[in-house]
This record gives sequence, structure tokens and C-alpha cells, in this order.
Amino acid sequence: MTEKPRESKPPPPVHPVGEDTASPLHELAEHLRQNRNQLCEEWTTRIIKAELLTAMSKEEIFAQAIPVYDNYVEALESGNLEVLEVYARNLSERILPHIGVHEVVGTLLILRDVLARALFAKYQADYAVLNRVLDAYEPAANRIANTVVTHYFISSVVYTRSKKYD
Amino acid sequence: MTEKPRDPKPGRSMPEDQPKPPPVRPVAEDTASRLRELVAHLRQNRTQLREEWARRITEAELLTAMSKEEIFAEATSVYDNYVEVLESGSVEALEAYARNLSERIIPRGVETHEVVGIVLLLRDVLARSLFGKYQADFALLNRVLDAYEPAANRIANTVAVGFVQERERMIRQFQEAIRELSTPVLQVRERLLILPIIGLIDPQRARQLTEQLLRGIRANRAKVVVMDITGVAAIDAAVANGLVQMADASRLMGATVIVTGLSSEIAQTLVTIGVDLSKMNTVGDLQGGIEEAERLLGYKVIPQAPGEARI
Repeated sequence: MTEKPRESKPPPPVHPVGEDTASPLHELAEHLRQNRNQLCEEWTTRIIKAELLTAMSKEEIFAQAIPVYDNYVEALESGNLEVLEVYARNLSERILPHIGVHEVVGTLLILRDVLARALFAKYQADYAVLNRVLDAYEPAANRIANTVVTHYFISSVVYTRSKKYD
Repeated sequence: MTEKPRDPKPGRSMPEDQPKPPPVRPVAEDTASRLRELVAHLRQNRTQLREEWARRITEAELLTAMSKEEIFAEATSVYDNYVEVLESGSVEALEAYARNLSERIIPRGVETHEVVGIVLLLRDVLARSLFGKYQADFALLNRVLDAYEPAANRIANTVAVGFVQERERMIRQFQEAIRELSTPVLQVRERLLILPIIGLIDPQRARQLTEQLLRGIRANRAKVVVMDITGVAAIDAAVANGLVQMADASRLMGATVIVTGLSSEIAQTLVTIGVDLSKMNTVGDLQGGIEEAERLLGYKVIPQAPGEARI
């Protein structure tokens, strides 16, 4: 009898990745896989510095960061957000009472920063190539961040309302 | 559309459902100097950057409820506030700005993913601009980004979380208003109230019904209440027990409750779940309920003879 909470619409569906953007994305995904450990380390360090996920130890944050990173890179390459949607739902079920929405948003923004800097470093010698890579990367990365954040927001709202009706 | 953020409304803090982003700490001198340099750059390139941002918003099919001109006006307002907050680092200004933005765009039908999307696009536009400016000096770029990223993330986070909280607050407010409107307590005669109930009854609405009914009984010194549930499709054990408690509470305040309009489905449900309805008067329909109420109050309806009728 409890009413179903009204949910915010999820982001629009993914458009097929065009041929000219697919190639930089493959190259980019390869680069991110090659530098996985270093970038995850950097991500973890920055999360701690920003005082996010304070309920977890550094090792726990790193352990959580790895699967998120792998799913992120996979979604970036394939354009398939289903894995991330499922992951966001599972994540919210596990961490919602303990981790605030601002922490999830914050960690994703930091991941974007870490990856953007990795791209700047890789393509610093060629501004034109960097711009082409960013043209492919930014929409895909925004779609991923938006999907995870919106799903987490929805789960959080549903959770908060269900607690109020208990 | 280009109004400055207002001061927080008195007595209204951010909703408590979610913890807020951590407070801003005083920034180190080096960081402050980089931020000043950055702010100067963003002000100098304001026209070009906000145009690029507005173009990308349209291209990404965000804020589709707004016209191109409205998007540009909104982008200008947000851009200026963004730069101002980047410069001052003021949490109050940032929260006021986030609330102000949400209050303006939520009624326009803007969705959460659109707000997150435009914030991310602004970050992209500014990051590219910084790379363009510092491409010759990668070490300096990194130092500028060290200052920019935490501040920009704080803004993005506050805007996104603030939007969701404000949206939730508005939805709750609308729900309250709808509930108020959907549970009228009507006086039809002296000491006789009617409570027509339409739609779903959940525990929260049942509580509100009870509160309104008891207030109505006191205000009108009612002796009889006719509760008509013709418009209720289904109820469960918890709600049925809530109705029984409502009748008990009314009796304590000196009023008898008559329930009318029980559907056959609800009647069967009540019997199946074994709710104790012995304390409630039930009558088939609303007209029968009013007649029974009038009888209890001592009214007698006498048809007038032809020619006696008044116009």
C-alpha cells in the first residue's frame, strides 16, 4: 500500500558510437588498461585526500576502485552502460546507508580528473590529437558518470523514502 | 534569468536526508594565487566559453524544455556564479547559488541527469580552455589543475546534490498539498460531517485522515461522521486497522463514525483478514449513511405537501 516513490528519469539511451570516435576510444581504453594500477592508485590517493569514503580504509577503497575502473573502461570502449547500471544498483544496495551521495559523485568526478590528466600527459605534444581524443572521450565519460550518479540518486531517494514510511 | 543567488530563506536549511559535501577549508597561498589567475582567465574568456558551453548543452540534447535563448541566458547566470564561487570559495554563496538554480529550473521540468550533464560539460569546456592556455608548460598546467579540480568538484557536487534535495523537497511539498486537497472534511448539517475518501490509502495518508477528521470533529463539535470510501479500490490489514482506530478516536471525542460505500472486494478482504469491525456502523451507500446520521442526530425529513414547496 505504500506508494511507489516518483523517480527521476535516467539519462537518455546511448547513441551508437560513430566510426571516427570508436577508434580513439579503443586506443584510449587500451591506454587506460595499460596504466590501470597506477591510475587506480592515483584515484585512491585523491579520494583519501578529498576526505571521501571515510568509512573505508585505503585498502578497501583501492579494492572497490579496481572493479569500478574496469567496468568504466569497458563501458567507455563498448558504449554499453548496462554493466555500469547493474554495478551502480548493486553498489547502492551495499553502501547506501553508509556512503552519502556526495561521496559517490565526488569519487566519480575525481576519476574523471585523473583520467583527463592522463590524457593531457599522453597527448601533450599534439594539441590537435588531444582535442580529437577528448571529442570522443568526453561524451562517453559524461554518459557513464551521469548514469552511475543518476542511478545512485534514484536508489538514495527510494531508500530515504522507504525509511520514512517504515 | 540572470538574478544573483538569494540569501538562504530564514528557517530553511538544506534537507537533512543526505550529508553535505565537506566544508571548504582555507586554501593555501599558492592555491589561492592559482585560483585568482584562473578566475581572471575565465572572466577574460567569458563570452567565448559560455557560448561553447551553451552550444555543447544543445548538442548533447540537454535542457530540452528551454529555448536556445533561455539556455544561453541560464548558462550566463550559472557561469558568472560559478566563477564567483570559484574565486570566493564561500560555502554559503555556493549553497544559495545551487538552491537558487534548482528553484528556477525544477519547475521548468529539468531532470537530474540534465543538471549533472550540464555541470560535467562546463568542466569539460573549462578543462580544454586550461589545456589550451597552459599547453606549453605541462608542469604549470598540473599546478593550476591542482587548485582548480577540488574547487570545481565541490561546486559540481553541491549543485548536483543540492538539485536532488531541492527536487525531493518540492515533490514532498506537492504531495502534502495533494493530500490536503484529497481529504476534505465537509460539514453538511450542524454536528454532521462527511469525509469522502478517494484513491489509495497508505499508512501516511491514513494518519493524515485521522488528524484532519479529529480536527474537524473538534472545530464543528460534530456528533456523527459519515466516512464514504466508495472511491477506494482496495485496503490492506494495516489501513483497515487504521480506520478502526480512527473510529475509536472519533468516539473518544464524542462522535460516531458511519462507514459507507464498502465495495464487495473490500468487504471480502476485511472478513478474510479478520479486522474487528464491530465498533463501526456500516451502511451500503452515502445516501443511506446520511439518512442514518440524521436519524442518530434526531432529524426527521418530512416531505412537504404540494403547494407548500418553497422556491
